Order: sequence, then structure tokens, then C-alpha cells
Amino acid sequence: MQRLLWLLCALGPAGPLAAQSLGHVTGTVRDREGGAPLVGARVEVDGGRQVAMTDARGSYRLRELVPGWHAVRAGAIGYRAVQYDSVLVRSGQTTALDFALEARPVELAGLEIRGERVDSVLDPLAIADVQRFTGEELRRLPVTTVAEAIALSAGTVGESYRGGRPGQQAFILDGLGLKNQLDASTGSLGLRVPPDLLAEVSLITNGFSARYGQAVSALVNLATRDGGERWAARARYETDRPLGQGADHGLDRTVLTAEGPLPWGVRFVGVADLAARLDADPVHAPDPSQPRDPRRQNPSLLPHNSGEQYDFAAKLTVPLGARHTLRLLGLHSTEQRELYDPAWKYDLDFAPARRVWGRHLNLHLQSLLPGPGMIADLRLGSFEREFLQGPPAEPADFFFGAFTGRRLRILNEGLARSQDTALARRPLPGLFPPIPSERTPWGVPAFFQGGAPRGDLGWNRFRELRGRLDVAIAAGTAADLYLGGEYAGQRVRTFQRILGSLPVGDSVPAASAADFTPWAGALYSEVQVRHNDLAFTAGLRYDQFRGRTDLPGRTGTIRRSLSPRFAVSTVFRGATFVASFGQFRQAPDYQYLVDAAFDDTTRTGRFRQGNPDLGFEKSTQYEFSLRVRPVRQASVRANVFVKRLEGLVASVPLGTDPDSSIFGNADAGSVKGMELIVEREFRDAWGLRVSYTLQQAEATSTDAFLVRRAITIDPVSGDTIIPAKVEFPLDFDRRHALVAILSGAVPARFGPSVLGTRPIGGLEGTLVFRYFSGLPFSRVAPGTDSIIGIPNDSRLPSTRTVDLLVRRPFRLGRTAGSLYVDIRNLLNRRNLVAVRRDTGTPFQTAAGLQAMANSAYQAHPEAIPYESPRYRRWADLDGNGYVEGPNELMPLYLAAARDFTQPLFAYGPPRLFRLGAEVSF
Amino acid sequence: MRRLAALLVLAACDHAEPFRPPDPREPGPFRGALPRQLTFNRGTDRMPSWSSDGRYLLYSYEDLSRTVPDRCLGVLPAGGGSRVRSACQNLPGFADSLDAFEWPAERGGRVAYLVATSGALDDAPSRRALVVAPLADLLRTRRLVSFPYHSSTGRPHDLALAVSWLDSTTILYIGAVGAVVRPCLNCRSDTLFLGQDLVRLDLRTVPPTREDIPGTYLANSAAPAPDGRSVYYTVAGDSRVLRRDLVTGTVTEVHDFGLGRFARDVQVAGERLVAVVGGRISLTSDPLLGLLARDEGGQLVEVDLRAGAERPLPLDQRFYRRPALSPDGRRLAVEAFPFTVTVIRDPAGNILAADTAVARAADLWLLEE
Repeated sequence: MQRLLWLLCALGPAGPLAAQSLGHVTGTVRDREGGAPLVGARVEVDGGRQVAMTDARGSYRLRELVPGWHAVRAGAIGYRAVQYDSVLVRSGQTTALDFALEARPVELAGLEIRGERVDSVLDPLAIADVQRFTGEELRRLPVTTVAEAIALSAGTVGESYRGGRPGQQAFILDGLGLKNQLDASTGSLGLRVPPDLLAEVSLITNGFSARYGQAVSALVNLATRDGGERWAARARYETDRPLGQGADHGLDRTVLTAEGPLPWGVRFVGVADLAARLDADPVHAPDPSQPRDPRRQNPSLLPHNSGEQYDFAAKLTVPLGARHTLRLLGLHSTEQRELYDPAWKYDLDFAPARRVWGRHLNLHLQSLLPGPGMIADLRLGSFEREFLQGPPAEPADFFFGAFTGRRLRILNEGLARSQDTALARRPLPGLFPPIPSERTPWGVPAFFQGGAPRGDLGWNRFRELRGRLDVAIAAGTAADLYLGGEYAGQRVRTFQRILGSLPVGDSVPAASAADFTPWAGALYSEVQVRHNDLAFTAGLRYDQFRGRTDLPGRTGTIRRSLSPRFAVSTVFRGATFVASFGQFRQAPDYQYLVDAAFDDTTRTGRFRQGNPDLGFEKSTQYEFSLRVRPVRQASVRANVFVKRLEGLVASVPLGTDPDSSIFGNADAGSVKGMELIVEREFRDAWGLRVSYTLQQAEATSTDAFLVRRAITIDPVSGDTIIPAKVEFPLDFDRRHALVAILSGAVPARFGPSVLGTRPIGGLEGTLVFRYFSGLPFSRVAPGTDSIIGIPNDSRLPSTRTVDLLVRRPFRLGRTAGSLYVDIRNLLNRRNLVAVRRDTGTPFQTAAGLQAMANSAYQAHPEAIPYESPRYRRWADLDGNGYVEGPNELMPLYLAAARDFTQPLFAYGPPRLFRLGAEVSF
Repeated sequence: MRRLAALLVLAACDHAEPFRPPDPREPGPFRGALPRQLTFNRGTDRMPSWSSDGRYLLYSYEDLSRTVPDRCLGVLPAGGGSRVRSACQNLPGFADSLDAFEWPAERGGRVAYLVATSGALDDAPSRRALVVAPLADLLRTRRLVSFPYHSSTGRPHDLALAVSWLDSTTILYIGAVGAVVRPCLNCRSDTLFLGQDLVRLDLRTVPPTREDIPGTYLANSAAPAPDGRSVYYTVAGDSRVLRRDLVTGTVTEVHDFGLGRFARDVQVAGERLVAVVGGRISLTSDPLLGLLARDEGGQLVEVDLRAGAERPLPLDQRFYRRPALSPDGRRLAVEAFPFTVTVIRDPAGNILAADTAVARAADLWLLEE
């Protein structure tokens, strides 16, 4: 064993990190009278699911426990056994639990754990930056989804973590990696885990274990809970129906949870989370200024913007004898929604729609191996995701709120699935070129489209079968060794056609399609050695992947990489100090291996050639963190990090043709930052967490579609330099972020009594305050795409929001429940989240509007006769049956321009209410 | 329990309705008086025809807002107002060609019409076809007949005129020839049509079966009798309205407008017959092109088929072409060409010469009984 240990240490000279998806329990078993360590005492978890024996010093260590509440029992011959039935195990952390046994052979039961010898904050073995929310905390927070909870963590900007691009994170669901490897940087995972199923969710931004890959910026760790020991159910419904126009955004959500024991010790938990909203992305934009704008009747509800989500999850926990446990988790999510498109504002039947579904099956077999302290985890998982976007085949037919209860069908989705690029050279069936809308209040043929959809059709499907084996070996009480590997076989299918009403030709690129079967594999080793309060962690991860294989004459290039990780941590004068270094690799999104056409291909550079030879994207991170606990219930964490990003995918000019570019591993950048987290744990009816992030993220490209061209530095001289040497702020370069979470509860007997109840007593609430400095943006010269100065040289104003959740528990006979109100953006602040790049404000200038109107009038100066659907009687000033001439037409063109340039998505969400009721059985 | 009841009430509330763009179209006519101008288009509006239920008026209009002023199909409410539907040639590759959708005729929710396309440099349409499409989606067409072809009578048919439905599976049209003429060097070229034969098209077979009706040479207008068993028609250079029994082939004279009063554009509903008579019409023989018919409109005359009495309909400084009687015979839509008469007099006030100038663009007018 020692040889093996040395071999692995030699293999992995660096690298932090333990297995963050699971937790551990450690401690000592002693004689209560004399305090002598008990040798050979038996410590077991959950009725013997896992067992450890104490060593000569009375120490034991239980490894690889699923996060959540466990019962831990210690017994020894001649001693009365002691059981703690509520031991909280958290992922990536070690819970300390000491036993003092009485020398009497009588068993006690039902004691609650009272103290932790190893402070979870100060524990030097916890070297990762983990910001977690337990299932209970999620319930207290004004959040609805895991993503919203994670967004409260330091260092996050949307789905960007520590300045990285979206998609540089991976999900770990019950220990198994999960990633939309096809288009994580531009698309969603397609799966949502209902928060009611979660024991814990955490964000790990550094020091993630060598056992996990596929990410260079962060891991989002999701740990589901097991079903309970007795049958229980919970039903919840929330809505904004009663709030009336202005605050009613058409929300309905219901969550049903059931759990309990099944025969043969099997436990079950299942959750259905169904949500729909008539306006899936409410914005707090100013009301339309023009009296004839029909949206003035209900400006708070955007049309053709509804969305519905259906999430189902079920988990079975099956004990297989005393040494094995099998866990089966199944998830299915569907999201379908209409997509508001300003150009189709008045011809809503032709605006686009999207449907995404994901399916995941996770099988986890945990076994105690015969050897001392050896635990093996075998995980098998399948993940499938489908994305489809295009014109809907029929208008949505709502039956309850925004619920349609039917699958959203997309026009020509069968053609997309068949990937028939030959057939797709012709105009797609049922599509015609759109015409200027005739349904606008302004009538004139300008800006707004109608009569037919845009004709873009996108489809892709990603499927993965993944298996992994992890072995944890206890090398005495001072060292742990982790070994393992994983393999994922994947299949990628894509289809894309734009301008589908037109045949493929000079201005319309051919449909692109791909069907290939990449695979990825990894091996890792990790060792953690402890000596008093000093801990070393070293790990090495080996990754390889093979990308595209469907091209003629290609078998696919195999890419390989080694990623060392190292950390040292110690406790010094009551503070824990961790220094870590890690290299991280991820395979690029497979979408960049495939040709991509987007937007209007008649414009320069709207086509990217796929590159089947793309290699790993990399990051190297150095971090120092300090954790202190100045008072018993409060802790302070400070992290300082530098992260270097390399080989990120960007668009590279191909040859001398200015319109031709190819994806390449061409982007590089760096992120520097500091995070400060002050936390007062929720005890004695209140808790507080404040996090502040100072960050600077710069690179050569913000996303893979930006062409890496020479940038004009001096508009006078025209000097240019290669942009790889110029790093400018990334889109996610948020310099300052402050998040404060204050939770509190009112004692049940507090406050005056009204009709036998105390309305204030028992109230629970959480207030979340957020302050974010503005994100960068690029200014362009009016009427052009030419950037003024360097990219992202300008900044948006800062944003602030206050969210509040107040819950009032109640009892109805034997049924418990609660009523709650969840308010986002309580102060209804109008946060600016985007601007026009030409004006630097959300609005077009008066001169710009006039120019738009003039241009449109010049294109169509013809009179509009009475029988035309474009005729507007109120605009026919002389009443002759024609809207004609500049006097009558120009005001209409100007009004249309003003309408078209209304800044809707330049603003964040308004105040949103969720009125909810929950009943538990 | 109260809370549960409150919850139920809460769930029963309706959400606010999301914005749906209101229909901005004009529901009624510009002016209510009769005769009523239905269309105001600066281009030409032509070939009106009623839907079989009498609710809509289909017609062909010149869309001056397009790069090339194509002729599109329009559907108007029966009493006038904004078009409720229209269809133009929007297929890719047709942006710079002159495309015309003409002679619409509806029955049972299906519309038959003539599609004509010309190349960018053509003087006149070079490809034509008779198609059928659902009224709800006029661009989802099925081709019935491609032109030109040689008929069983040996005469070429370059296009179809006066398309109508005999019954739900049979279409009637006039197979015609067209000729492009340019009266002078700087004049606009004009396409003149001359009907050749009446043609019956049976849609029950694939492809549809064409039957050229013998003895209908130079037919220039046709209207099925309501029972579909016979057809009223006129012949170029003739003042009579004839009726042909399609089963027996018997031809009878229905009405004669008198010597020199050429009749055309006949329509019949019940006992009411309407035709265009006289006016600016000529039938000449060109040494190169053969017979040429030029028609700039005429007087609208109504005939009571029971009594045989004629009644001119209001003229009001307009020539008329191609009237369309509604199925119930109460409404009449017609192309109206304004004309101006310029009179040159001597100092004594005697008329020396008079010239009538007819506008090239027509609007549709509605007359009601």
C-alpha cells in the first residue's frame, strides 16, 4: 500500500482538493470515565450502511457519505452504545463527532449532535472555496431555482464564474459529472433539479477535486436527499393572479413532493415542479410613450413571451445488505417558450419559439470493500438533451395561466431531426419570405415584419453515457487516498438552417448538419495527508477526448492533457490559511467543431467554419484564502486569486478572405480578484451572510463568435496590433459585487393575539440585498458596427435590488403548512442592464429616429389607399382615401421608428410577486 | 378551511391578458353612399369575383409598393373596407420579375386563379399557369394547367381568361392568345388578348382533364348558369349574348344588344343579366398578329331576362369592364375607368372635335340593387 501511495504521489506532484460531492465524519471514541481511547470500537452510519473501527488512538473516519442528515452510532464491547440521529454531513467537509461511552451494556438512542470538534470553517482539510446552501436554506431564501441560489454566491455574474465565460462550469449531480458538452457556452443544461429534492447545492470556484473535470471556472455541486423514513407529502402553489394588471405577470407554479419507505428498506422521494408564466422574462422598461401604441393598455406584460417548465424527479435508495447501497435518480425537464421578437411584435403568430428537454438517469452503487477503510463508488449515468428553435407550427393554446399542457411543435422539426441537408437546400415547406407588417398601428411598411416567420431553424441533440469508479482508501488516520477514472461515450447531432424561406444560394448558406460520436475519458489520483493542523493535498488528473469523427477521411484527433493540483493548508493563531494551485481543462463545446451560421449571412463574417481539431481550453489558478472565526457564531473568509485563461475558443480569420473565419483555440485572458465573505450562522432566530467581490476579468474575446482581428487602436493613424496581445474587459467583468442575506424568525408566541392567533408570531423572513457595479460594453459609431476605441471600454451604471421572502407557518388540524409572499426587486428599482452601443443609452436619439424614418420613407413613399390594410384613417389628414405625401406619411414612419426602438430588454425585471401556500401531510 | 377557501378563490382569478395587437383594418367602406368606390389604389384593380357565399370580393390589384409593381390577389369584405387577405408572389427569385395573380374564382373555400410571370427584361409574362389554392392560404397552390398549349381545336391557348367554377369539381375558362403591341415608339407596350375557345377543366382526375368546348371560337366572356349545366357567353365583335347547354351542345340566343353594340363581360344571376356594351372597343386584323381586340371599357347594361328589357346602369364619367354579380344577384362589383372628354370648339361654339381619354388605372366600384 505504501508503494502505491508513493507511486501516486510521484504521479501527482501537485493539486488541491478532496471529493467535494461527498462528506466525511471523523472523531474519537473514548471511555467516559477516564477518557481513555477505545480501540476497536464500532462506528456505523444509518444502521450499518457504512462501518468504521477505531484505531489505537480511538480515532475513526467515515468517508464518502452522501450529504444530508445521518444517524451515527458507536458501540464497543462492555460499553453502552450511543447514537446521534441527526448528524449533518456536508459535501466536501468533514464533520467531527466524538463519542464518550459509558461502561454499561445498555443502549441509548435519539441524542442530537451538540458540538463539532472540527470547525467546518476552520477545518484545514477543507481547501476548496465552497459557497453552499442547504435544502433548508433554499427554502428560506427568495429564490426559485438552483441557478438563482448559486447567483447569490461571490464571484458569479449570471452563469459566469470568476470572470470566465458562460459554460466554463460543470455540474456534479450526486457525484457524477453532468455537462451540456455540445453548447454549454450558449445554451442551457436542459435539466433543472427541483430545489425540493436537494439536500445541498454549492458552488466551488477553486480547488475542485482532481476527480472532476470538464470545467475551468467552477463546479456547481448538487446533492439530492434520500427519501424519509415515513410517508410524507407536500403541495405548494404560488401565483401572482390576485395582484391585477401591472403586477400580474401570469405566474403559476405548483410543486408536489412525496417521500417515504417502500418494502425491503427502499426509500423513495419524488418531486414534480411545474411552472408557467405568461411573460417569462418580465422587464421594467418605461411604458410606451406614444398614445397610439397598443401596449400602453398593458405595458407590463410582453406578448409572445410565455414559457412553461415541467420538472420531474424521483429517487430510490436501495440498501443491498449491510455493505452496499444503491441509489437511483431520474430527472426529466422540459422547457418550452415563445420568444419575443420586436420585429414580429404585431405578427405574433410568426415569432419564434423554443423547446428544450433533458433527461438524466443516475445510478450510484456505494460499497464498503473488504479491506480496512476502503470504499468504492460506482456511478453510471445517462444524459440526453434536445434543443429545438424555430417558428411554432401553431399558436399557443393556454388552458390554465400560461400552461398549455401540450408539446410545442416547431415547423419543420421533422426535417431538422432527419438532418436532410439536401432537401433543405430548397425553401423549407410552409415558409415564405416575410413582408413588412401590415398590422402595426402605423401602417407603413417599415421595421416590423409579418406574414411569415424569419425562417431560422435550429436543432441539436446531445446524448451521453457516463461511467465512473472512485475508490477511497484510508491510509491510516492521517492520510486518504483517492483513485478513480471515468469514461463518457457521447453522440452529437446538429442541424441548422437559416433564412429557410429562401433557397440555398449566394446569400444563403447551406444547411449544416453533423452526426458524430466523441468520447472522453479521465484518470485521477489524489492524496491528502494530515499532520496535526497541517494538511497537504496533491492530485493529478489525466484527460483525453476525441472530437468529431463524421468527416470523410478523419478518425478524429485525440487530445490529451495532464492537470496537476496542489494545496497546502494550516491553522495559524485561530485562522486557517490555504494556498492552492490548480490547472483545469475542459473540452471545447462541440458546437465549435461544427459550422455555424447565424443572424444575417448577407453581412460580413456571419459564418464560422467548424474546426474538428480544437483542443482543450485551459485555466491555471493560484489562490490564497484565509478563514477566521472571530466569534463563535460568525466567520470571515477572504480569498485572493489569479486565474489565467488560455486556449479558449475564438473565431480566427481564415486566409485572406475577410468574410471567412474558423473557430480556434485562440483566446487568452486573465482574471484577478478578491472575495470577502462574512457569515453569521442562522442561530437564535437570525443569520447573516455578506459577500463582497472585487474582480477584474480581461481577455481577447468575450465569446467564441467574436473574430480575433487586428483592432484599430488609434483612429487617426489607423495603427493596429494583433488582438491576442490586447486584453480588454470581458462582458462579465463586474468589478464590484456586494450581496447581503439577512434571515430572521419571530418567536411563535410573539406579538398581539387577534382572534386567537398571533399574526406576527412565527413569521420567518429573508432579505437579500444586491449591489453590482456596471458591466462593460463597447461603443460603436452611429449607423455602423465600427467600435470606437477598444472593446468594452464603457460601463453600464450599477444595479441594486432587494428581494424579500416572508413566510407564516400555520396548522390546520393535523396538517401543517405555510403562507408566504416572495417579492423580487422589492423597491421596484429600474435597473439598466444593457444600452444601445451607438448612443450609450437605451434610447435612439431624435436624430437617429429621424434618419430611420427618412430612410424608410425614401424606400416607400407611395400612397396608401383606403382598402390597403396599411391605411389608417386618423393619418389621412385630408380625408381623401389616401395616406400620402410626406405630411401624412412621415409622422407614421417616425412613430414606427420610435416604436421599433423601444428599449425593452435594456432593463432588469420589475417588482415580482409570488403569493404562495404550502401544505404538508 | 377559510384559508383553503381563500386559496381556491385565488386560483380562480384570471391572469391579466397579454397584449395582442388590435386589428387595425377598416371594417367598412370609405363612404356609405351607392354607387360606392371600393378601392382607391393608384394602380389598377381588376377582375372582381364574388366568393360563393357572397361574403367576400376577390380581385387582382397592382401593388405599387413593390420593387416591380406585381399584380396580387386581394380579398375584400363584401361591403367594402380593408383587404382581409392578399397574396403576392413572394417566392425567392421573383423579386425583379413582373408577376401577376389574376382571374380569381372561389368555390367551396378553393380559389382558382391564373399565375403569370415575366422575366426582368420581358415585355409580357412568359410563363403562365392555372392554379388552385385554399382561400385561407392563397399561396399554397396546386398547378392545374400550364400554358401555352395547343387545344384540341388546333388553336393555341397562351393563357386563361374569365375563370369560373361550373361546379365544385369543374372549372370553366376561356383559352386565349395574347399579343404585345406598342402603338408608337414611345408608347407603353400593351398586351391584347383574344379569346379562342371555352374550356372545361375536370379536377376529378390527376392531372385534370381538359375539354375544349367546340363552336365557341372568339368567345370573350363566359358565365356559368347557376345550375352549372349551361354557360352564357359572348363572342368578339358580336352584340349577342349566347347560352350553350353543356350537355346537349345546343346554343341559344339570350339577348341581342343591337347592331354595333358589341357585348362582352356577361354575368348572370337569377333573372338578372349584366354585360358591358359599346364604349371603346375595337376588333382589327393585323397583318402580322392576326385579329386583335382592344377594349377600354363600355357601358354597363342590365337585362331582365324575363322581360328582355335593358336598363343602363349609372355611367358617371366612367367606362366599365368585367362586372361581377354576387351569387344572390343583388350586388355588382365592376372595374371603372374614369374618362375625360376634351372638346374643341370654333369661336362660334360649334364642336370641331372631341377626344375621349380613358384612364389606364381602374378602381372597383360597388352597385347594389
